Amino acid sequence: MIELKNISKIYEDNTVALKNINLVIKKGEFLFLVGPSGSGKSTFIKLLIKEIDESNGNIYIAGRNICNLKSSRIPQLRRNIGCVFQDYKLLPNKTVFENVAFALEVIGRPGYEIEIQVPQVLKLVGLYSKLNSYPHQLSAGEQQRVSVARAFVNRPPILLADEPTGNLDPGTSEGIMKILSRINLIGTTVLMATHDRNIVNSMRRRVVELEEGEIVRDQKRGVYGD
Amino acid sequence: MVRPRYFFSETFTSLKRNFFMGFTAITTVAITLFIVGFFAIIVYDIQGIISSIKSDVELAVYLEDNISEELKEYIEQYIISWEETDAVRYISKEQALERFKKQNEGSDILKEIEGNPLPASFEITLNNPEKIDRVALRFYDKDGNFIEGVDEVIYGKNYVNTLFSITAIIGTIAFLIIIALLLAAVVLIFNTIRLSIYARRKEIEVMKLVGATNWFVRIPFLFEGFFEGFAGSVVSIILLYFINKFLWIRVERVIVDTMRIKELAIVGSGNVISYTYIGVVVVGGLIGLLSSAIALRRYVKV
Ligand SMILES: Nc1ncnc2c1ncn2[C@@H]1O[C@H](COP(=O)(O)OP(=O)(O)OP(=O)(O)O)[C@@H](O)[C@H]1O
Ligand SMILES: [Mg+2]
Repeated sequence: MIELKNISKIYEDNTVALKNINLVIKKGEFLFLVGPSGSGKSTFIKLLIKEIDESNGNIYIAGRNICNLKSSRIPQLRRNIGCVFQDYKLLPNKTVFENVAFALEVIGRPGYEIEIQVPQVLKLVGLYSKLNSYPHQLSAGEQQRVSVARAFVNRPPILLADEPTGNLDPGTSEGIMKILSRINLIGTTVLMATHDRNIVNSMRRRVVELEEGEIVRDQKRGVYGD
Repeated sequence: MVRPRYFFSETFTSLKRNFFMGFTAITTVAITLFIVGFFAIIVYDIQGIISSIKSDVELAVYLEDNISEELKEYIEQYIISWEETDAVRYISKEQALERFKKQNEGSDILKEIEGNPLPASFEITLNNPEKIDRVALRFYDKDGNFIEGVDEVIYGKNYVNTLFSITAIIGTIAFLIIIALLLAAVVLIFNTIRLSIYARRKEIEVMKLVGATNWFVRIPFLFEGFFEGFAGSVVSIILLYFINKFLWIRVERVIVDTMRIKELAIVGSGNVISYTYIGVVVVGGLIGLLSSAIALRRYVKV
């Protein structure tokens, strides 16, 4: 499903964020990407949706090399990858409903579909009652759940989540993990970057650990480490 | 609870700033297209006047009093044989006097005329008035004297040339002004679009990250630019309508009365005014689209 070959990322200021990464993620897999702050987790995720370009190497998604993708094909790629951003990227002047609906509107889905899908996915993340709230009226955890809802509303085969529980109390984090598990259960490949030791330890899924841009561990049913 | 207020004031400020920019852009387009449209009408009318003057341009060939019938006949045939000749009219001494009397009716000058001092003449209308010099030369011999039987050749050479060059100068100046104004309009619309791209940059970023195509991102801005151009052109049409209705139609009526010219922009039978309005809208819309396209190329990375 996803394969990275010799991927390196060096930012314009010569920061080496990823070094020679080789990794295969199978279809339907649930994978935790762990590692200290600055180890390259977000960079990894940004490469997969081509928010940034790699400096070296190749990335194959569904057999297709996305590194030489024509720019006109990038939207198609992103429609197949839902992404929960570390900084949520919600639009402040749109309500919860509109923020989620936005993801369907921009890919040209019809209105009736939006009317059905958006409330459904908001129920899934437990935010149905906040339909008409604006992001600034929500707690950080609620905003994060809106971001999950938006990433998943068009049922992409791949879901990337960059620290989706970063601002949540253990109870709510568990709620988010239930959602991601459920999404994974219906066949979606889920890749989640996290610092959250408890979650990783309790889920017992594949764990890939980064340190200073390199993979230092890849464990089938792993724990957070040390 | 500072955030909502901060938020609204920011949005409001950006709207206001954009409104002012948009207003400026629309006004500039309106003024530009108004001038373009009005120039178009004036130029059309000047062209009408020139071509009617052109077709009036004649060569008068005055004959010697004692010219023989044969020579007169010969000269007439000679003139008819030229391809530049549209028509030749013979005016006898008597006809010339008649005309003179009619033109100077009631004037003292008639009392002083004894006999008939006016010469007979050929009045030649040319199909191409710009060849008037060449035709006139045919009445001269190698030494620069008139050919036999011809006393004088008169034509409005300087008059025509001056008219030509004045129109050319006016046209050039108008063209330069119009180009400058069009550029100003493009720059202003470009700026409003740039500002609204800037104001919505976060939205654009999210749109692209969730899979919007470039066209989906661009269309609202293209529409905004088109709207500004279009709105400006509508305003200019309203201005044109009023200036035509209350000023220019009167000018044209005066021209019609004094010069007996029929084909003018407003009073003529051609739909010149409608075409001008249509042209103004098309140009306005295109300017808007073009300006926002340039802004999008520069500020929305593909
Ligand atoms: N746009 C950028 N320009 C230059 N350097 C960058 C840029 N973005 C990230 N970096 C650097 O690249 C490295 C990896 O950053 P990245 O954001 O991938 O880390 P992370 O693992 O997601 O950290 P965190 O857990 O804090 O989110 C860091 O050293 C960071 O400073
Ligand atoms: Mg990160």
